[in-house]
Amino acid sequence: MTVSDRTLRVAASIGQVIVSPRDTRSAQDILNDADLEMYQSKPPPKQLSAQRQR
Amino acid sequence: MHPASRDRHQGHDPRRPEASSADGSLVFGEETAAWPDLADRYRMLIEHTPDAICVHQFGRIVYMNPAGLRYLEADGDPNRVIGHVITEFIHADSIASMLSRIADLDCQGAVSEPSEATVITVTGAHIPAEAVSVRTTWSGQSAFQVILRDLTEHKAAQKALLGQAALINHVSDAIVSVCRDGLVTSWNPAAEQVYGHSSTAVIGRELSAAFGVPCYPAAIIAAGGRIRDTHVKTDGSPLAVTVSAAQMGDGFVLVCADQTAIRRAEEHFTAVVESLDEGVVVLDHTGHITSANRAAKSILDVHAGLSTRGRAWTLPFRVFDTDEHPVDPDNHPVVSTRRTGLPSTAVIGIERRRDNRRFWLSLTATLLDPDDENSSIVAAFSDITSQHLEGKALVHAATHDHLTGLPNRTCVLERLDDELARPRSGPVTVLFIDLDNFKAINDSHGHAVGDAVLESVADRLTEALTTESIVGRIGGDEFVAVIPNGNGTEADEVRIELSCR
Repeated sequence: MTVSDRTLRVAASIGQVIVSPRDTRSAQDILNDADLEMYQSKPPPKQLSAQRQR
Repeated sequence: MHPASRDRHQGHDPRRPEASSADGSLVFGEETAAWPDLADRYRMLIEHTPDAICVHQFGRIVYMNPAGLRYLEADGDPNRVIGHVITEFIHADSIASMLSRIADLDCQGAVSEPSEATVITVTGAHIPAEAVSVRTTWSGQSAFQVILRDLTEHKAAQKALLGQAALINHVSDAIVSVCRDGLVTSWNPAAEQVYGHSSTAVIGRELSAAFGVPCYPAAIIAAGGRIRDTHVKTDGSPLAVTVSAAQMGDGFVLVCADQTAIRRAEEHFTAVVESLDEGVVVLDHTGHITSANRAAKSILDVHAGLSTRGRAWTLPFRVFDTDEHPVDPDNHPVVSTRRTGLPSTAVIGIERRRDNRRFWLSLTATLLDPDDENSSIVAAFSDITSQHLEGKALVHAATHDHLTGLPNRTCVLERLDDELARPRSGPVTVLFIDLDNFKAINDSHGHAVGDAVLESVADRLTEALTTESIVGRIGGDEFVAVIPNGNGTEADEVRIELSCR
């Protein structure tokens, strides 16, 4: 993405939880589970590539 | 001579000896054959006369007619009276005058002048009476016949008249009577005080001269009997009065109440209400505005005489509630107070038709006179527009992320709870989105760039998802999306949206 004249590569890790109509978890529990899902899908830390544009 | 006693002595010679029969009623001597008939009629008369008649001899009561027994509250038991000493039934203060009254009756048939006495009944009650004594004979010996007339009502009437006269002299209202020609016939002390004219100066003069302005009592009566006017005192100063007029005999009586102090207080309070920042509107029971102060006029564009009922467009403003929905007329505080009689308070929004400007008002409606079923209603309101908008801004600030404007963690959890509580057939997808290496961007490019990245991510997430979805920022680089009726591919869509541009 281009931000303040800089092109930055931004990647995201996403955790997905599908809540069925019979699911009894609370909003807080679902958020925690989605958070865990996200961590499991996260790639190992690496150097962010960024280049300056003039 | 007492008129009744004079009548009673007509037609027979009072010097004739009288005698009592075995049952105590009066009979006359038997010398003349024609007398028994006459005596019987006389007896009937005495038995049925409403005046109390008693005969006392040697200080004791020997006869009392039924009216007398009733008078002494002894009608059930004549023995409480017959044979008793006469002075038992006369107040101590009245005994001397009674004795002097009968001492003057020097011959048979002599009648005293009526005199007042206080009679004491068998139950101890004191009754004012007028007494006439007649010297007579009883069983051949000298006796006194007393005719008593109850003066209670007479005394009460006399007292009332005295009271009224005293009232007219002591009231603070001027009471003036005029004859048919409009000339003053009486002028009470209060009138002297209020107007400064003495009664001798105005009696016999024109009413208009006394009041300093033209005054027509008949016109006042025609106008309902009561008007507000300004008269002129002797010294030329104005006098605010309420004038009531009534027909009295051939002329009129006028009561003029000095309203100067009340009118001054009225002006004072009107000025206070006018100067208030709060709007004050008074509505009568038909829904017409009877008064509105400066603040009410300037905010609501209302004026006295305006009707608040009927079709909505008659009002110069629209009313809505805090959720910005039009207010149901039945829930308007004024209508609710009219219905329940209780004060009601609400925050309402109004949009002025003239310029579509919106105001938020905290409005309280109360009955002006709770005892009157047709009471007017006072609607008082403060303009709380700025506080209301500030309050809304505070609520927004407390539930939203300042940087991106997205709902914050608290708000997302609240909305997710709402979403889960709603009956639904399909699944809800919840995405937890965390930017990889966001810290590195901040470190290498500065926070301003980091913030711009977050704002850009917020925009892309919002664009990628339907308006039914909830997108929130719940931490530094953590976002959440709640997608109702998802099909399971949203995570990929979001991933593409974030990385492909």
